[in-house]
Amino acid sequence: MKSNHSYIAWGLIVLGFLSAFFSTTSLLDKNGLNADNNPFALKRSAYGRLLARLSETTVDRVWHLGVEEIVPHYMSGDTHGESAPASTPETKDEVEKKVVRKPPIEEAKGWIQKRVISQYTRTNPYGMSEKHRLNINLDIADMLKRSYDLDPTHYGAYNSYNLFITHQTYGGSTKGRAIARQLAEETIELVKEEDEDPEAYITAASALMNLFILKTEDARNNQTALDLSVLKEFRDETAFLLGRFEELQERAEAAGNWDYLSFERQVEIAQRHRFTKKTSSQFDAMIARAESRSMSPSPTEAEVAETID
Amino acid sequence: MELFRLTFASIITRKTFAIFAMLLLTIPFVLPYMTPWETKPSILEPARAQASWWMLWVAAACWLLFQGANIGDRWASHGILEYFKTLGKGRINQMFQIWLACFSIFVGMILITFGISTFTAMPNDPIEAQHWLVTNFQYVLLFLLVTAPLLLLSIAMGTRFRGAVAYAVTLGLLVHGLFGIRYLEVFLADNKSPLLNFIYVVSPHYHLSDLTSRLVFKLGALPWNELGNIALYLGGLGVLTIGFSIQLFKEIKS
Repeated sequence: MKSNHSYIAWGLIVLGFLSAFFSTTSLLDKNGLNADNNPFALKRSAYGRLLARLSETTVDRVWHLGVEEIVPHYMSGDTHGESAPASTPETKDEVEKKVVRKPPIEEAKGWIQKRVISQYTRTNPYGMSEKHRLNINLDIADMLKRSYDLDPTHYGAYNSYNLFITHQTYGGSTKGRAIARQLAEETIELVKEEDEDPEAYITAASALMNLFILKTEDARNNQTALDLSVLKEFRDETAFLLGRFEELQERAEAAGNWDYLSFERQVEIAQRHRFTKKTSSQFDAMIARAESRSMSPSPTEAEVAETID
Repeated sequence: MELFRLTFASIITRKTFAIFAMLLLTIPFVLPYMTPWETKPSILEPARAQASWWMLWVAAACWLLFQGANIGDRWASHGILEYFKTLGKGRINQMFQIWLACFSIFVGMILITFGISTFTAMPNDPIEAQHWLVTNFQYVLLFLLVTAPLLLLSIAMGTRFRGAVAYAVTLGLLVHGLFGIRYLEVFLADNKSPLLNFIYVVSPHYHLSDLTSRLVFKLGALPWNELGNIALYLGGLGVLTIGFSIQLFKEIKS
């Protein structure tokens, strides 16, 4: 019996090995063994979009702790530029007004928050060394890339990654600019396939503005003027993207889906749309200036396109 | 089939399968609504299918392999297998009965997943719907080719080693095959080490059975020749695993 089992077992092992071997050879020829970079389709799926939104807090924390070396604002409740109040004498009424008795639950939450703040407050008298800072920058860039890969159409994920690679990890280097350019182009191409989510088009418009800024900086570095045709191209493309946003938003409102968004989300989207629209409205002014310059004398003067303020 | 009935009754009595069955029935309908679906409602259905398949993989990793390892360990430790051996039940017969008891319950979970993924998330377009149905069938086939032999291996290892060791090894194989190989590929991109390349080739490429992307992004069904190739590869791995499992199986735990 024992030998029967062994024969069967070894027969199966040999058969299995041969089958796997020949199919492996065939799969290797077509790179069929390669695992795609998206296990269980997490990236760019609904859950990828969720994780991209949730990762904003993580990125925020690492940015503030690692780059600015301060406690993140969502923990401390402070905002940028907030300074300690001037020490002027206060009346008893003013002091009593400030010391408002909170409910016990709020007191308890406040106590926990203070422990969290102290957990992240820097007590090391020395700042980070340059090497350590560079290391952290690379880690943050990886985190931001992961967040971007989860949802490339997410406004925060795209813009924070773009900002970081252009200003932190690579500064204003050629490598950083090349990555930023590719990032913007890929994001825009991806968004153009979108036929439902209006918010993605704000991200694309933002990416287009970043491309324009890169082009403007190139023109400044080369001491050349930006072609009128390029300005018009950017204006028309931005108008198209913002037009698609408005079209899809109307469609979502008509279908009743827009009402499912929380008030805060609607405000957030409206603010981003307003900002992008205001920024892109400068194209008309720039085109008008460029046209008037082209009609004025002194064609030999080198002109550099103005950047958007 | 006394060993089958004994094992089956033991699994039913423990009731842990019910927890996973409940999760399989509820998670696909709850999880999609936690995503930012409001600006893109069309993501709900692919998300439902995706959650359904994720849960099935979780059930395979956390319930199926654990059950196999645990039962193999218990039956061998308590002399059950030795008893059936004295009744003339051969090794392969015993392995098959234990495997059938575990897998027959797991088939119920597979049917739940197939039903939810196929019928509650099917696209409206007839051609896409056909591709959707075929893709789900293909996914079930490849999923079976991975999990069925691994269950047998967990049972066999459970009879020879402790249940925890058997579970850890088979779970480790599954996780390596699904995820670990991706990291290996990252290393291999910059490193031409012959050892790493060898490990890469001989590793079980279970990730080939992951057709979730084809469902979520509606890539259509896998071409039949490709399916054949992958099925032959995973089937070969499966047969290899079964062969090793037969060798590892031990009726008497010393």
